[in-house]
Amino acid sequence: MIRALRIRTAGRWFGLTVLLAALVHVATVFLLPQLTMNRVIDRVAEASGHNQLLAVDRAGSGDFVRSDPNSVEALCAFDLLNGPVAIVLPAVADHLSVTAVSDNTVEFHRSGGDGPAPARTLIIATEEQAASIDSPSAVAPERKGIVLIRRLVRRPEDRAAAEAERAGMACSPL
Amino acid sequence: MRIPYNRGLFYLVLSSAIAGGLLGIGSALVAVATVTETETPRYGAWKPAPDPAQTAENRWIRTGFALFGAYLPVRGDALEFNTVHDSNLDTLDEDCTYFLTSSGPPAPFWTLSVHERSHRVVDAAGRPASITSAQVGPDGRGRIQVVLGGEDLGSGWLPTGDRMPTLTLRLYDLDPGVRNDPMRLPLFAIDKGECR
Repeated sequence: MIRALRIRTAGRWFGLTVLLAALVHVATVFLLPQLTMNRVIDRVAEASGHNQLLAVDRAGSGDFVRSDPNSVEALCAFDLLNGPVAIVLPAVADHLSVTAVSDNTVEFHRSGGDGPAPARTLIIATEEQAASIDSPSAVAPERKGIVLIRRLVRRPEDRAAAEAERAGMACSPL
Repeated sequence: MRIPYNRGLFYLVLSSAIAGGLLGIGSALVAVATVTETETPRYGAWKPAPDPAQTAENRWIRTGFALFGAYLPVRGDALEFNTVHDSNLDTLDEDCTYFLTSSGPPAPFWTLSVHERSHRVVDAAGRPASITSAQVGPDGRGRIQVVLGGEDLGSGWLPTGDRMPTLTLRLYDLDPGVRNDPMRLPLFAIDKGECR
């Protein structure tokens, strides 16, 4: 009788443990990308504020992304709560890439090219906001996210010019 | 309704919650690492940085990218490869010297950098541990050779840093046809030399 009770208790313990493990497994896989992205976004926002450009140096950018030491980088943690955000990009003399990722880890904009590029402005908006503005915009699937701008520096002597170009970049509410 | 306190039941549920939690998190991390490893191709020692646009549907891979710092890879027009292994798939050891050899330039412009596991670039006496095609040209046989670790050799040399290093190779100005077929790229073979 006592032995049967112990076997039943062990069975219940095992069943409950497996059920909990399955729930935690699914929750971990579904929540981790967003938690990780939000951690990065929060750290950038802590350093610069939302909708502000954060120029990152070679030593510091590794705190947020795996940086390319042969580039000049800038980040913007955007929050579209109060309206669209404009990313201002000056004319550049060499490769410039722009990537925007929402906090649910969806990369919703990627642009870039080798060689010189003219000045342009990238507008980031929610679907609702995009419908009410005239300019074409990158539609963010979530209200929050991050933009990474990377300007390649092919030779050390080009770094000063690339940093001057970065000084002309901006991230601000539209 | 007041549920009477049952010490046995309390410990049963508590121990089950702890074991279930640990098992759930552990199995999720193992599954994420396994799926990420098996679902991304390998070219010699190198693995291409994931393309979020192509892998967005696989939740385990997305979690892997987020966990292992691969989000915001910013591929743009660059093709990025990473490795923590040599060509024999042994983990890179900070106490060993490695010879990176390519049969030719892997791209019109390429950069090679050494990162800590935290993604920070390894510091090489005040400079970032990085080398570009502007600094290393082909030898008489058209090969490109870079030495990783060991004694400072000046040009064509990269330090490993203090911890297990990650190598990142970025290729720029690639022809679109080559971009879509990385097998055609002469990526660096990584051969282990002497260890301290």
